[in-house]
Amino acid sequence: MQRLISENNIRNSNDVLRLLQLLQIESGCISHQNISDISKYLGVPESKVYSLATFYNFFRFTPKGKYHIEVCNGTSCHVKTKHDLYAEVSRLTGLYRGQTSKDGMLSLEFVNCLGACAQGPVVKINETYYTRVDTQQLSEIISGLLKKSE
Amino acid sequence: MSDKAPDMNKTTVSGNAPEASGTVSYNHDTGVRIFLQIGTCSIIAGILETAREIRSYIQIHQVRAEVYECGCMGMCSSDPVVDVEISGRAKISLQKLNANAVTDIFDSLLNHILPDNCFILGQYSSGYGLPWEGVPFIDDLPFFSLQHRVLLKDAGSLVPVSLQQYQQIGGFDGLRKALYTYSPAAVCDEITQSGLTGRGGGGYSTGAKLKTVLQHHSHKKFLICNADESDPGSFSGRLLIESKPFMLLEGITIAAYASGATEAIIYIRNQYQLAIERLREAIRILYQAHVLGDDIWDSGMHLNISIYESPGAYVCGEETALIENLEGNRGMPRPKPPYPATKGYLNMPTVVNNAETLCNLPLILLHGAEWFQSLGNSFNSGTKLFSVAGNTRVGGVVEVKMGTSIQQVIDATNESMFSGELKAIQLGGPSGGFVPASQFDTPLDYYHLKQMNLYLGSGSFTVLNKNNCIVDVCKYFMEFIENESCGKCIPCREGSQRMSEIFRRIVSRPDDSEEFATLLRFKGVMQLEHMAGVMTRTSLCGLGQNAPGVVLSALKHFRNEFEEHIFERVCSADVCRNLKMFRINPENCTGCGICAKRCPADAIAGSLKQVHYIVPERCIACGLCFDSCKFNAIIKN
Repeated sequence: MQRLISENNIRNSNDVLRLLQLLQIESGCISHQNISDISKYLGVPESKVYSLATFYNFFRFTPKGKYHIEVCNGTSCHVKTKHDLYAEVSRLTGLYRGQTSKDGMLSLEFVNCLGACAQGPVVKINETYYTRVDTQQLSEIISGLLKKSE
Repeated sequence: MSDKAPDMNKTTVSGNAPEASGTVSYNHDTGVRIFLQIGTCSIIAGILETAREIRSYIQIHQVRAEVYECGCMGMCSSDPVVDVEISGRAKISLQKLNANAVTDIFDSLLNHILPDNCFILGQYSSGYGLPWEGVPFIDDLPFFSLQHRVLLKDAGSLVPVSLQQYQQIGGFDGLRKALYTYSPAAVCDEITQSGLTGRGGGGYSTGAKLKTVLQHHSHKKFLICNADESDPGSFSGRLLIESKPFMLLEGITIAAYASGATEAIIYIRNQYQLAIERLREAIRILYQAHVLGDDIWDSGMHLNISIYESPGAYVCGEETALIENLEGNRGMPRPKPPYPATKGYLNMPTVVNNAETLCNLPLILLHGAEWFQSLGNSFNSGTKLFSVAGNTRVGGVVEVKMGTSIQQVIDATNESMFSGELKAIQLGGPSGGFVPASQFDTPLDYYHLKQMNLYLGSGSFTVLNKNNCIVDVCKYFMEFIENESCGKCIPCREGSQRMSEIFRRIVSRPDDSEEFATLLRFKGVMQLEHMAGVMTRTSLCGLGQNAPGVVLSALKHFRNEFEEHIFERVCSADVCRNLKMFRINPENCTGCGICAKRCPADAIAGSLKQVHYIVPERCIACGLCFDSCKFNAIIKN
């Protein structure tokens, strides 16, 4: 964190959000230790740092799993989904949105829009996109992941 | 003064003078030219793999070919789209070109044989080369012929980060005209006269906004371009920026000149990495070409443009919330007035405009206010982009004149045979509303939609057919607002939570004694109307004020669906699965036990070769038993 602060010219309490963004990009999540460190360094109450980090969708408090599953919950994907893809993926992985499995292999996130509205429903796993997904296909993909992570 | 304008071709990277203004010129004599239409949508569809395959094909077969990385023309459901021009033949557009189809298609194309029909989108009628027989012209496809493309013109054939190509289609002529022949106040007047209104949904006159900032004295003024597009289901702005980044930058420069701003910030969603990458490159080129920075073209104007990657919050589409975010705070709206035009970012006068609005400016300056007015109807001028998605045959970005009927957009994206199945259009995302099929002749402009109590929002256009449940879509949007409400004012924060609760109650199976539960659910609908009214009247910002629009328009046009859910506990679209009940017909059940094995909730009891039974309390209504039963023994109601 010290390096980020010195490299990016972070000086006062107005820079909390910028520092949080840099941290999120650098390490993939914000830890509670980070929050108290930022609070001490920039002289801002911890509650303010925490309130900023929880306000925006960009920040995560749990590290991503080895396989990070993002299910698109945009309008178009929603109206194109025949069966409840979200309940299905939760059931298959045993995770709720924003959670990471205990062994750190899988993590699940519902995102507002992945930007492929015409090809929905879309599921993104790490950098691979799966378009026009149905429940059958989804369960195959996830059971494949579960096997790999064993 | 116009003779002062420098010849910009000197400053571009490579110096070929354009042959004719208005079209991008290539040397048509030799070799093969391949145009990859790269956008976020096509990357998701796999164009990068296709491109790798094409490049290796060229290398292996030693084809003399040039490969261009172009923008995307916005026919997202056909991605990946690749245009190929073989010497002597018309340029042909290939759709859904997956990596593994590349070899076959290029084998035949290079021998002047048409590949399989499903890969052919159409051919261009540019006048060069012999047309392919039996291939439709791109301009004749309903998707393109029913549009009126002004902003998106050449979107699929330009190399987005080539300044030279952008200039060939008249780029920066508008800025040059503004800088050398108009005063800032005259630019404001020209824009006001054109009738351009904010495309982000507000519909406020852009010229008037710029003029307010211009007239306000301050040592520093800011211009913010809102390219956040946090509406789920809208992607038109992203396509515009990805395909023509210079157009946005030119628009920003014109708006900065008109308002006197010296600092511009592009506020863009962090997920739009490709758009950000192209904007950064374009900005770098412009600094090099002296179109940005100090003393632009010796006109005495200064402008710096920076990019801010937003951390993502729907409420930041509201201009004051956006400014709070830029200042490093929680993105919560401020009460207005003071408006940002007088007291905005860092308490300085600030213009906040949507990206699509700004992209219109170069064209207005270049072609004049009258031309722009002629594009619309008597209520609104210009064109509007719509992100067409949902249950439509062709999805993508459609640009039509203001006042075009909804039906025409539907015709462009659906074959007529599908129209009968359509139920409604959801316009404008969470702050918009529904238009039922009976009112598809409504003209798309701010005036007519306002009469129907609808906001255009940022132009998302989601097509719903008979397989979609209106109650479910309402619930989806309410839960979205519930998540995204910033929590500052009570009507929105509490109202969205209560309304979501009511929707959840309507779509779940009542577990109480029958009459009482129905009464509660019915009461819910009455409360919905009341709460929606309170939210509309008392919320602080546009997000809260417009959020109940979806519910109100649904209650107005689709009341029967609500009643069906409440009284009959049936979802005729078969979406609200919690209303479904499954039981086993003892006469048909053979006791094979397949359903019990498939049931994820262990809700089916029974021993082998005996009639099985579904325990209603355990059943999660997933329907797997219904799908797996071979003897039609499972009954759904």
